[in-house]
Amino acid sequence: MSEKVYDVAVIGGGPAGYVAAIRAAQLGGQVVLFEQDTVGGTCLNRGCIPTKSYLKTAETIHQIKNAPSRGILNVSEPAVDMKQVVACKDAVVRQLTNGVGGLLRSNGVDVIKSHASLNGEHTIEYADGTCQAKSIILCGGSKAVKIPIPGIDNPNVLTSTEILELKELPARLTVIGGGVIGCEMACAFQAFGCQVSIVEAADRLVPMMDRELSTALAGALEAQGIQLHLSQKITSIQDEGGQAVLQCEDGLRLSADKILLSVGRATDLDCLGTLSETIRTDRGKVVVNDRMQTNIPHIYAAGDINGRLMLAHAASKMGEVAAENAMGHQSVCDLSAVPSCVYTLTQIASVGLTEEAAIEKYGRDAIRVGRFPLSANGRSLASGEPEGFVKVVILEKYSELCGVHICGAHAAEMIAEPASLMAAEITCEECASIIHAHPSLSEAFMEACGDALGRCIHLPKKRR
Amino acid sequence: MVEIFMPKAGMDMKEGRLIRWLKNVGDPVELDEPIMEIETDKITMEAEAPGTGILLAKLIEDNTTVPVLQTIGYIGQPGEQIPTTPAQQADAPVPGSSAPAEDTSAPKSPALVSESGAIPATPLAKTLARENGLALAEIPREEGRPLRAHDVEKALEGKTNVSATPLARKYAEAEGVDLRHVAGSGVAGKIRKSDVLLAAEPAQPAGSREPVRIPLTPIRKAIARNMFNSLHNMAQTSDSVEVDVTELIALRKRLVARQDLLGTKITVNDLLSYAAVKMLKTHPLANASYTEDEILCFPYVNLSMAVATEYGLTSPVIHDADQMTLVDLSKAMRDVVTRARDRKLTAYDQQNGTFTLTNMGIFPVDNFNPILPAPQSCILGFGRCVDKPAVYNGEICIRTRMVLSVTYDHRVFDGGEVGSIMATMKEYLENPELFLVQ
Repeated sequence: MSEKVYDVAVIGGGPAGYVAAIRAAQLGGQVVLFEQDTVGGTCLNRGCIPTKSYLKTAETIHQIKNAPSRGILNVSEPAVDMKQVVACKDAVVRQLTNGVGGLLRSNGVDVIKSHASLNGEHTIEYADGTCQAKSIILCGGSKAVKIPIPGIDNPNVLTSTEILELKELPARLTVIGGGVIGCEMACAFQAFGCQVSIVEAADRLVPMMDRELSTALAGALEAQGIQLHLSQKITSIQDEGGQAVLQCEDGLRLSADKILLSVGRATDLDCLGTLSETIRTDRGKVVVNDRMQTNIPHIYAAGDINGRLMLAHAASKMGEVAAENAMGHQSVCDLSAVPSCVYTLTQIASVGLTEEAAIEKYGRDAIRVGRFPLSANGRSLASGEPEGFVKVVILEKYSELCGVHICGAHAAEMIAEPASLMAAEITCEECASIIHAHPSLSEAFMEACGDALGRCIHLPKKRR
Repeated sequence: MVEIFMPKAGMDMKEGRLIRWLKNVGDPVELDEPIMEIETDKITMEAEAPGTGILLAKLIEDNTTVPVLQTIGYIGQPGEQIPTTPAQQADAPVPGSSAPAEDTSAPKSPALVSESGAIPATPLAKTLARENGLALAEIPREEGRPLRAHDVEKALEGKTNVSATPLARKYAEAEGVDLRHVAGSGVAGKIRKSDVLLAAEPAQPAGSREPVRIPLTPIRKAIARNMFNSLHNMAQTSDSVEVDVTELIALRKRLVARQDLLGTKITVNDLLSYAAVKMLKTHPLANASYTEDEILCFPYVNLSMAVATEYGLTSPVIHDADQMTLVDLSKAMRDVVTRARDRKLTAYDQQNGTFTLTNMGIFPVDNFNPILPAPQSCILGFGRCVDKPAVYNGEICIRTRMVLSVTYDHRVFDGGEVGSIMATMKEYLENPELFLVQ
């Protein structure tokens, strides 16, 4: 084994870990990264990126089906070849993970392909021995949650990782959990030709997002033929002649070839190793301060493992902050303007507070809501994508943008503008005054800001 | 053609070392692009090109030390002839000269405006303008002279020269927070909403065990740097003596009773200051500075007064205090202290002090150890006036007493001299007519 003492050791090569490793190396550190699988983590290998590949295929199917209405002739009914769908996705994943590997190499990070865990405050144990480091950044990530119901181990119950490996399309798919992953997978497989149902315990889809987005998304999914069963409590899963039958408390029975279990993700604390009792955790999450330090100051935890915000881009920022602090800089992580995107058909995206949260925080009288429907936006109409809206929630006293919520075909790209302006602390008044290209989708955000201020040009005058 | 000179990066910088050129002769250079690394007695820094063109000549080699403002190179157009005898503007104060720290940072070269149209400015002026977000072209300057720090200071007066996000400005306006008092946590010190909220409500929730993090304001940083450097670079030592100020207090009462006649309300501090200025007449080493080669004794007294303000410690200067009557000094003192508290001091108000007073008399403090403001050789501190039993004319009676504290630079004078200074001060304060007649 090596006697070398690294400045920074990173456990986990996902969006938090690989970014932390590169940042620490940029700042002059000797860095080692442990990853038991392929670098890139859940995001690149079996999360964000692969699902986006599937959803692009699904979107293309919708466009082909819609082509005749735009005057395109000789269009036949599309059908998918799952083997090619998977191969296409795998090629994208390979290119990106190779790219991350190359970035780590070019920055001189030692990458060790091994499971690794803490074995002391400065010691990491891995397959071939131990390694010493002055600072350690834990980026163990998360894993899919299982629910304790009878029959959950039925072989037809798949995790999101497993469903991405399916090379044959099931005729009927039931999705347990109407969160981000469940809704995205439902859209993809419904477009591919499955009959998809979603069973959700809450009274709405994507319960963390603004209620108007949940409602709009439910309408869009139902229009595609996806069956929604909200406020349902599942009691068991039974095997009936190779079919998985899902039984709910109120008597609902759903029979399917495959069931996707997507009820959320829980932190993976495996990397804590022998310090699992020493490092402070709260409800299964590693407790960190704004500098990403655990209760042991030179041990940091970034990304899903600290449960602050389970999003790849938030994880990367946390990784960067942890690395800067580990290298002796002073850096804090502000997660107040992190965009959150759902790549369903149609897309929804948010940044900041929901209307409900803003009312709870500031009171109903303190906030104003502005809305602009995409059906009044020229570019949306011309593109045949008039569904959706932009909604802004502002704190009137300071003209402060508290939250922006977008539903529409390109919501995930459109959210970048309000997210940037909120991070730069630009007020709603300025957003309404910035010149936006015409015709473009971005105008809708400007108009919604105008509406919140009672000065929207392209909406009928309101009786106030 | 534009001259490149050794920058004067601070008021007390006499010479600088060129560590290395960052450009070769013939290289194109842009205005404000770093062209060399220099070292002062305190820091190393990159210095910027004073104009745009090509680097025509280097007059000194890497690793050479030269006086500040000496011409060390030229920037111009290809083919331009460089002068054979560069104008030298060495900044060397003459001992005993009446203005040793006069602003000599202005190169008096005839080529004030380069062909690229760049605004000639001293490095200090450029730094001040950059830190405060002012464009050099916006700042009025005297015809035919480069822009000086004083010009920038003037341009800054009355302007809310803070960098803040639009949302932070909204919050500051609504919450009545003065942005000039807020330390920014954003990029390049930009003030963000959270900084304004912190300034509006600094209280921590009860029971929190998180340390309170107080951002360093520029003035706090400057105080920290000056205090540390002062203790680090000088041979400071302190003494104290208790004096009887019963007579002085009685005198002050009589002067206050006639304030209509005098046109000013004389304070105890005015009397103490006046006495100290008179003391300096016979103790010039207490109104001096130590340099590597010699001791500079100033033939005038620029009296610096330590003033505590809500934004930190300042030391405004009353120039030529030795030419003033007690009434003049009292008025000047009130003016400068008021302006210090209102943040209205100009750069001139804070420059070229030769001797400093600090008064802790409003607090229950007797003896203390003031820190010298470099490069001054002596600082005098006054404690509180307190009635206590004392032996006076062979009897125990109640007298008003005060402790006089002094810190001095032992490189400039020794214990014998400080004893003599204290003796004079004691004599003056116990017999105020002695200094009043001078």
